[in-house]
Amino acid sequence: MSPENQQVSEDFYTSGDLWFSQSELQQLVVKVARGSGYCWSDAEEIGWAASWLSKFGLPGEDVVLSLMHSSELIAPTPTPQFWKEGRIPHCPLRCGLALMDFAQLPEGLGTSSLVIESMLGLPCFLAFAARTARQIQHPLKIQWEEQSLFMNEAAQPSVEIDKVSMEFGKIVEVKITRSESDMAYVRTKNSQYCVRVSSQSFEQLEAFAQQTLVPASDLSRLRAGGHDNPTS
Amino acid sequence: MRVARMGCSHPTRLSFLRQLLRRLKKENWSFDRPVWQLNQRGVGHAVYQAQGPERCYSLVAFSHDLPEEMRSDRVIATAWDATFTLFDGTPSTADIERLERNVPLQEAGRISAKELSLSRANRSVRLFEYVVKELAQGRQPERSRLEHTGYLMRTTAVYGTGKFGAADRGVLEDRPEMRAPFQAEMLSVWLTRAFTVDLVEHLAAELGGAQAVNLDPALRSLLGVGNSTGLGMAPFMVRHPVLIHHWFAAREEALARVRSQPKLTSETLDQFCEVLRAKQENANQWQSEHPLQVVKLKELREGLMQLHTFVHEEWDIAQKYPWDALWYWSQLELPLEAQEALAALLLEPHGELIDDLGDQMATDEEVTFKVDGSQLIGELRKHLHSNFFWALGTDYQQPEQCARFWYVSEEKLEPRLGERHSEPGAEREQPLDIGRQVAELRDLLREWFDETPVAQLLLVHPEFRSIVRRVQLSAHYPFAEIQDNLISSEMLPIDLLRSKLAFFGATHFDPRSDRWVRISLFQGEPYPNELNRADVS
Repeated sequence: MSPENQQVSEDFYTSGDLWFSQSELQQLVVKVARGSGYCWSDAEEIGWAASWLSKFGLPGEDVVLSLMHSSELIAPTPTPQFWKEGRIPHCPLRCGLALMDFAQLPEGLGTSSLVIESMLGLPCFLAFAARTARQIQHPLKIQWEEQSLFMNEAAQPSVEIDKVSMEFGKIVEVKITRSESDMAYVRTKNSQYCVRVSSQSFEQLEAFAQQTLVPASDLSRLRAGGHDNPTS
Repeated sequence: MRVARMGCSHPTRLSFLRQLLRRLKKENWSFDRPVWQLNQRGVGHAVYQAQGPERCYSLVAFSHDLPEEMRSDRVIATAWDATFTLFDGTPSTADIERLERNVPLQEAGRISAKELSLSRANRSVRLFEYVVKELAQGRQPERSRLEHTGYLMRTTAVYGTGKFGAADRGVLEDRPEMRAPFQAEMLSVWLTRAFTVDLVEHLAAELGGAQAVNLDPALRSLLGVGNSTGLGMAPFMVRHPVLIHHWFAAREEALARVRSQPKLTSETLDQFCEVLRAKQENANQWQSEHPLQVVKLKELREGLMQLHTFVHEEWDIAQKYPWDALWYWSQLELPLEAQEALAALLLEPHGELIDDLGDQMATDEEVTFKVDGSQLIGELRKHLHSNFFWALGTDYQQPEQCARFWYVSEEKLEPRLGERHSEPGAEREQPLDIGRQVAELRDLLREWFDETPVAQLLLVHPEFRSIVRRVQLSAHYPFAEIQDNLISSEMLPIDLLRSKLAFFGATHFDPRSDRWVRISLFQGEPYPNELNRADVS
């Protein structure tokens, strides 16, 4: 795997957009998720998912913002082979985490495949599917509508990830299968180190992240480090 | 890992700056200063280059004319005497121009994946100006004054991988010279040390003209780079449990290897006695006015004296496992400060035996960022009670046991520690209260059957995911946790800082309060132009 855009593009400083490192984006998104009301545990996972998506060229920060703005999504009720829909669509975060946690259990991937009905936010879910493949050290095939892609044991997606719709509100049925294909013939997507974030998205992210910060006061300033004496 | 012992940490030969220098020497790296464009007032930029067998790295230094009233070591400062970045390769003119627009701004600027660190430094005004004046007049500065301060400039932040757009760890992980932790940051600081001396010599030459002299190499070696460090380092120790485990595990493995040597040689004994003597000398020079450190320094000096007496008068070097016997004696007789000093001393003569452990101090944390959902609650409960016993006997409802909260201030995102019962902001607390979280998990698990898989628990209680992961990790990483209540009124944050700084290789730990500290890096070590003929071990 040879990372792309390690070199900085020429318009690095001339466009209104910002370039982030993967880790920087991840840390920002953790704060964004926490600031929007997710618990710290979920925030960590959302940060990881955003970083993974961006690493493979998808707008992780926009996926996260969509997740922050979505409401009334439910956690799945894992049952063998089929996670059935209720009245309300499944949450991609909850489905993704459950996919990882139940991967080795009968209610999860078991030995064959699993269908999750009615889920929003497919890109967000894909990040967790990738981690599941690494966790169980077995490639996975993910299918929805007429499309499919593979995740290998190193949590890398196949190149079809470029075709994934970024429409967060789209409800899809997803099938996850332990792939028996020879992954040597599957082209994986190269990762990249830099993430371009539009100034508009950045403003929205910052607004959520701000909610994790404590306003400064003289007392807090004093207790943080007190007085320094630079002449010594 | 208890906080009190961490607060007595000493640098060892496995410290990151020692690892860096050993590698540079072994691989015969060369060093150069291809750019020096500073005016009479010392304003301008310079480039220092380190050329290794496969790659080169360049420290790009910007030197500024800082009004005295703007000089502050605090993170909230907005201007500094000098600012730096470590560039991956050789910077072009366009790179320098880009960096000149951004590096002086520090957090307010942006760097790129071509850069590996971002840092700044302020002058130690009294010493810096004194040295310039003395050299300008053709005189060498007084040794005692150099020893007392120990540096010409001190860095106030050295940001590394991924920060402000800099290259992520992933960019570096395949490079042998960057495999050990914080090698880019250490290289940056080491080259910064050379810059600080070049800068005083430049200013002295501008001031004194023909009569100015350069700093005597013997005096120069007394100078390191200072560093002023606040609470920002403490959360790192909690947020990277697996990495921290590897640091401590390497140290413990090293100590175990030395203790398991059945005999000692006269060579290792001589080396041990020599480093003990040097440590005593160093402890006598070590200055601090902070009451906490004054007590520790007294314990250290007395403990080392006790150790010296024991080694020369009572220690039976002919017995089997003599190093182990010495260590065992220290656990019974010496204060913590001297015990930890002895740990560092024991490693010193045993480079061949332990230096390979440096390679084990880095890790890919990504691989361990997972939860085993198929684990049964009974198994999780077992790990919790076995590995977090230190957290379970505390009543976290008691005001003194939850007296503090860690938070991030709006002010330049500075990590801070608040008083829960008298300061606002606890609702935005950072999750560093590991002991309390473990106790809450223990309480929650009382409602769950042993045979239920963890996946079911997390489906209902996703908020416990992080702490469940830590409990699961504890089964494989016994040194991953700081085994104390980090929100207690009794907790001293500087103890955490000292532990991390010791792993860096910091010396002359000088607390300025219970939550920020000054230290020195690379003091006594060779400069780039001396490395090839220096004795580096």
